[in-house]
Amino acid sequence: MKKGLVQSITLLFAFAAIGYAYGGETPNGEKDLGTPTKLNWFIPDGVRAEPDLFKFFQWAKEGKLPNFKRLMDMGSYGYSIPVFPSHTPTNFAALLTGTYPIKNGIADGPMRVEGQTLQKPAIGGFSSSARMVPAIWSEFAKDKRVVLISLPGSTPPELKNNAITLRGRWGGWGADFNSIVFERQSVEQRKKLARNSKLFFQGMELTQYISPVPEEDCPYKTGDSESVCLSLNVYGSKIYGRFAKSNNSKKYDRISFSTDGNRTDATLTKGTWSNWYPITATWNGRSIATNVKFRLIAIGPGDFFRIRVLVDNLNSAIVEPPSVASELMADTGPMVDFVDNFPQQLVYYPEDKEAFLSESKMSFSWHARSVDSIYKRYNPDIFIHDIYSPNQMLTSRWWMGYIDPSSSRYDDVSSSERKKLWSEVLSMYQELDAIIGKVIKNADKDTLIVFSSDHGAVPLDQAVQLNNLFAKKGWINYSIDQKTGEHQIDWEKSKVVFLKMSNIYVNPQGLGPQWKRGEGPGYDALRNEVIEAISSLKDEHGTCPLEAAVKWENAPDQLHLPASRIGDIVVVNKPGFGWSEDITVEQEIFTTPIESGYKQAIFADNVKGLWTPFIIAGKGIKKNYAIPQPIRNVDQAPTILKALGMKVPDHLDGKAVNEVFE
Amino acid sequence: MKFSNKMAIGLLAPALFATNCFAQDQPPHTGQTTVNLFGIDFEQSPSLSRAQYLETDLDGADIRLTIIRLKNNEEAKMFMDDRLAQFRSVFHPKRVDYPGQYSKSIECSESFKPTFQTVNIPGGNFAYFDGYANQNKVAGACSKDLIKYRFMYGVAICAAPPRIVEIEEYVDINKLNGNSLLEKITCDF
Repeated sequence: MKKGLVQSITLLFAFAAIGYAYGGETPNGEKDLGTPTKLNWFIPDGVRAEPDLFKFFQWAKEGKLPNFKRLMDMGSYGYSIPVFPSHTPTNFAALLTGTYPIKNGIADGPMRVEGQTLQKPAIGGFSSSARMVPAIWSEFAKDKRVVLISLPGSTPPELKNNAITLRGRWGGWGADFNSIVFERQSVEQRKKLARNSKLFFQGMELTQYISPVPEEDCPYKTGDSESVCLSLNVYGSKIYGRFAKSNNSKKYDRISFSTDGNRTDATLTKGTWSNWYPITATWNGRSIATNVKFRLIAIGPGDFFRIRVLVDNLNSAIVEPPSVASELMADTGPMVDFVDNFPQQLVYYPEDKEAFLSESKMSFSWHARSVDSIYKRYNPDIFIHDIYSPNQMLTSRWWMGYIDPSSSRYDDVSSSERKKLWSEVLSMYQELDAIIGKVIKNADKDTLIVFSSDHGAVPLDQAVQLNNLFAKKGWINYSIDQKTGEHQIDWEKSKVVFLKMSNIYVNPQGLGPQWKRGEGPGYDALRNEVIEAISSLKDEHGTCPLEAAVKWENAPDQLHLPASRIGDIVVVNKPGFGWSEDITVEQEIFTTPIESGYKQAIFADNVKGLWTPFIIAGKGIKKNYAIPQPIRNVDQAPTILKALGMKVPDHLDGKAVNEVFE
Repeated sequence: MKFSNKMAIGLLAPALFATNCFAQDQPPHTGQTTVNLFGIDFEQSPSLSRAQYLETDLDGADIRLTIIRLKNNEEAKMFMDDRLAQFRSVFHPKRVDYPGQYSKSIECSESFKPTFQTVNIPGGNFAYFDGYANQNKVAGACSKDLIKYRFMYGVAICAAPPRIVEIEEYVDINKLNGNSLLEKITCDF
């Protein structure tokens, strides 16, 4: 009897052990039970997914996105709705904290604060220093190895030991070099494009208009003293260019480049890229070793040129710890974090589109290589990763306006042209698919894989220049700088101003020198007048751009926005319209912007174009489960924490999506 | 078939083996040891780089040290200057993330910017900033409602052997901290 009992217990234990070893499913199809202990969360920026047009999950099921299909089979999937305002800093904060702006303090990108001047935003919403609650990585910091790549809100770095923070987007920390376009200076062109080309008045302009260098001042000699010589100032490093001809050509159809003014590093024809070349860039008085790569976008007629200079986005002064830069570079090569700039520069010439597409490929390729490298070198427990390039494509000039039927530009292209545009957009999603393939390959059975995005994108038909309206009403007092042509606001004498992204500041006593929130009957009356004026606006089709105007005291309840981070009125626009700060000589209210897509300041609940995909896969998650109703961005962090078997902090606004759990 | 003890063991052994192979977690990235520095006990945490990372609580002040050994004094000086430049960059005027005609640059108001000093310490010198940090212990809190800590960030450069010691000290803004870490910092370790 005793012998039999021992045998039975042993047998039972044996089977239990086998069951434990082999039971359940894992991201790679291995059977296991229990809770994931690791996380890979890929959050590319601006990935639109909805059931009507950007049929992401349908594309996956049709075989166009095989790795996403695999992930969907391994896990649960559905749509997610952004918070308001519907753009990046607010939604990365919502995703990474599980809270609304009223709690996390990220109400926008540029934020003004009472008691400070309105001339400059006081707080940047992409900086980690602006956030009032911890991000999800703080939950892991004590005992897990964390890697954060290109995440808005991750810099200045919060984690030091056992963690990597690489280039948080626009966090205002470290040596962040933007890529630059150099173009032949022309007065007309510069006036037309000047505003968009400026980084800001003190910094490197995103497009620099330059003239050829006289021969006597040109150190770079190629034997053709009549050819145009160029000097490109790239963060203190001089790169020379020289017009050149092919052997049989009479006209200049290429440019030779030199990074030292002596040897020729590359000779490029139109539409070609060079290799990467090392330079020393200057940043805040420091010398930073980096790399550059050039593209000849256009040459001629005459001495016209348009050159794109990419600067390696990875250097030791934009990574914590600094040593990671060279380690990663050895595997991945120089970094192209995302395509183009913001504001976008590759939107003005037909050749810019091809430049954009090839640069976009480089960006996706780098990010795909980085996944392998990060896992190989650092074996992270937590890897949270962003790439901005999808947003750049969908808010560029070249695509959204011509593929979304709700756009006023939809019929500006033929159906065959539209088909080509759709294939280019799908190629971009397939680049994301390739990165997910890398994630799945590198994830082990203990990894929870999550794919999501901050917001989608919709067509932008018209910019609404609210400050022109306010100027016409006499609410803005301004003068025109004779040298620069810029409209300078007299803040003390102005009563109403719109400032990005969705805030109107109102004070009958004036808005300067420091902004003080108004009060009293005069203030209320002026606010109502402003709301009435905007409500009365109609475009050429009779459509009013205003969806809602919310007074600051109501914004916490209605919009989940903190009163301390918003203006006197928050204005929500209808899709198709975007608010603009511009004051112009012509004082027109409605203009057609060059970009054809965007995402700002829209209520996303009923605007499906702003919805995003959400996929979660790992131990304990239902397999091939379609979440029937969209969730919210604030729900993702609590869902992830629950999936990892961790306590969900009480202060989170979002709720775990319980239906995804087995 | 009669089931014997030998059969049971024969069945159990591979099961245990399988359990060990397939259900074993990845080695955790934890492990702390205690290090005494400046007369203070610190806990040492794992680090991804060649730096030594130490942390302690001293009378309510959260103190974090990063010690990096370098090849020579020149490298140490360059490293120090780079780190100070990185810290300073947080407070420089910089581009607005969504630029507009009237939203061009962001700059921390002067009243929230840190002060900067350098002092000699036994065996080297120490350059540091005194300022503020937010709830998540990040420098660059540029409005009153973001400030939760007084924050000292500094870099000590020690010559023999060449080392850098990065020091971060966070003290609750509402607390008075009697102990001055500054008086304890030394290269004699």
